[in-house]
Amino acid sequence: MDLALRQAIERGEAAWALAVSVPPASRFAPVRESLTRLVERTVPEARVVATGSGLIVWHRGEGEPAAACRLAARLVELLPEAPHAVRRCRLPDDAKALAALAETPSDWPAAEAWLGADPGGEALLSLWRTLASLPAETWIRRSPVVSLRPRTTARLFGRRLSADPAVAAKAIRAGAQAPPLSAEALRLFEPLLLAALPSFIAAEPPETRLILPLVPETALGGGYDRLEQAIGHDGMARIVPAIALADAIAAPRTMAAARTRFAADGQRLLLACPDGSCLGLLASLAAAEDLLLLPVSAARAAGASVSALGPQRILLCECRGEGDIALGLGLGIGLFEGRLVETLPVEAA
Amino acid sequence: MLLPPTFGPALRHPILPAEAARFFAAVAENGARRRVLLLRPSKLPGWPDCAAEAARLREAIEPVIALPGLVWNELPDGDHLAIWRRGGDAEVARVEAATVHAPGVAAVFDVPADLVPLQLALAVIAAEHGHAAPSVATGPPPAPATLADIAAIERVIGQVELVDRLVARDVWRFEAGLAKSRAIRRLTLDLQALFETLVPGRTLAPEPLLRARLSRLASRRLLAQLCTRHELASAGAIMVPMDAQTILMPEFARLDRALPAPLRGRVVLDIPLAQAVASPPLFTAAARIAAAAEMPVCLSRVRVRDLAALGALAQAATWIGVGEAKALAEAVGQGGVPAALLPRLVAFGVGEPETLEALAQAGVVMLSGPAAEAA
Repeated sequence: MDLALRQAIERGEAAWALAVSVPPASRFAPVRESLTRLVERTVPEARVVATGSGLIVWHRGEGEPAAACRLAARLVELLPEAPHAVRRCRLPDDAKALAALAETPSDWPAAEAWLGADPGGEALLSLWRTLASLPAETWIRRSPVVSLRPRTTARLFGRRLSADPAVAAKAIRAGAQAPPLSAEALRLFEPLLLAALPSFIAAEPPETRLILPLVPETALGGGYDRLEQAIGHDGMARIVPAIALADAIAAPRTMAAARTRFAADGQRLLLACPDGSCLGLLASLAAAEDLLLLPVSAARAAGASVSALGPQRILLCECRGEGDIALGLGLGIGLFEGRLVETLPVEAA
Repeated sequence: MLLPPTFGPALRHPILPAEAARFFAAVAENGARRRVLLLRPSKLPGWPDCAAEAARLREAIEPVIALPGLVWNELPDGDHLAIWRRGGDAEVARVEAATVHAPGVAAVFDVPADLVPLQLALAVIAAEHGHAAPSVATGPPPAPATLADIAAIERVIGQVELVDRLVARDVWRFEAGLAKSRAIRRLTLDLQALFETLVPGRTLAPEPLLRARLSRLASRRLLAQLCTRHELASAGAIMVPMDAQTILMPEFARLDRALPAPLRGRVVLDIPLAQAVASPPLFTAAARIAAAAEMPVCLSRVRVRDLAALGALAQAATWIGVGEAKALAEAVGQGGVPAALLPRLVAFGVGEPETLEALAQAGVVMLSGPAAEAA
């Protein structure tokens, strides 16, 4: 606990305090620092103590200054989703409650731990060269995607390709404990997945689809043409291009041209939705024939409203437990991926 | 029309000459290759009373239509563009043989090698029929950007003066009776121009992931410069290009500490919708940090069709920026925009006075573009 606050509590001193509740999703260092700067600007004499659930803002003295009232109102505005975001307290009356709050361990991770690491352009360039020289199967994950119905055995639908963050982190900082690379940094290596695809197409049974993450621009580029020359029209028809919803929004014209290309290649697009807050945008942008990638958290948040999207075309990813599979089956979802799926007995497609 | 609707491939796309020119420029920029057959049946001698010639041409085209991966585009006024990736020499030769006595009916182009003559041909079609003229490429297409280019820029971005490269456009607030006052000066940065300055002869167009990385570098540099260039916001509110991740970085914390009280609320952070969708939790956290610093967020580049689907992303922003002013006016008129969003919308690129009037009367008060300037 903060030493000054502990002394004030132990000595029974008079003080005013605001117990601020911050939603778990926002409990990381940059948010704490920004709220602390706000306190410093508004009530310069107050002290700020981070707790496990938020902050305690406090200052010795009998009366609560007007500035503290303004601060409380501002904090309520900033934390609209937190129930009772700001609780006004007094010492010594609320000493017990404040002491309990101040004792909770306050582990607010740094931005890098939350977002993932970005070691800088030079290091990423070096990593690119390393990965390009490694056999593709050592650093490209091919996560199984299965089709599943209640009380049936899972059937292999295809494999989703992605750069393995653990391998990439090890390659970039050999032996060191480092946070995994950020998702954005990992995406820079997607062109290498494209280059590795012909070897995977050759290695997998002909029925197995390969789900390839790409940006719409890739579908119109020379790399995609070279891929077609390497694997032929039949090989191209086994590829399921996966495009992030954000990339589709960023380049609508390119996206429209990419769709034409996919159709000409006999490919079905997979549109990837990051979370439940984007389901409306997903519904607005997806074509009727698209597959939709949804994380379990999004499906859980959406519940029965998933049915409006057409559950049979949804691929539920990040399935870690049986409850996740049960949730998907209950919603009528037909395709699954995740750590649990990798352990399921699977029939060939 | 030469080809009846039942004839030809299942996929048919209407396309304007300018759109086609842009598409072929993108193909060349991306390092891809395409073969193109430009077909102008109206150039057949005696058209349209030339049934025999038309039938011969139709017969010659059928093998082209059967080429794998061919996409059939219909230009206005009966011209056609068939596009495929490679090969088809024998099929093209048949078309050329069938039109040997009718110059101008069929022409084959290989992109990128024939990009300039193809774009000139499209410019001619546009001029003949009164469509918008396409811009015509000159010189070889630039090579795509590489990770090495961006890594090199990272080393020097600290020395680049970005503030001086910003382009300013005013956003006006329209009150009842169309009285206007300058509300925000929107500052934008031409990333491609910046990139070309630092790495001549390369393009970011086919590399959106590298473009996003450069955008973030530029945002961090811009914040660092704003720390010492407060005067930019001293004459009124400014809107600066930003990305959500940068708001979590030390550069933002430094600006937050350095910003004088009178300028709080005057620095609006312009974050594109695509970036918010890439990581909604990151966007929500960034918007919270910005709000604590009293720097409002404008969620920009939102398409009209997506306004009703923004949900929680809209709640995190103060302003919602829309670029399709005309479509917005139509949607507003038809009740297609949530009423609660109207006073928070910023309409960019308002070109016509009637669009401006329709938007202002519907309660969209923040307007930018030629019509807003002229009003």
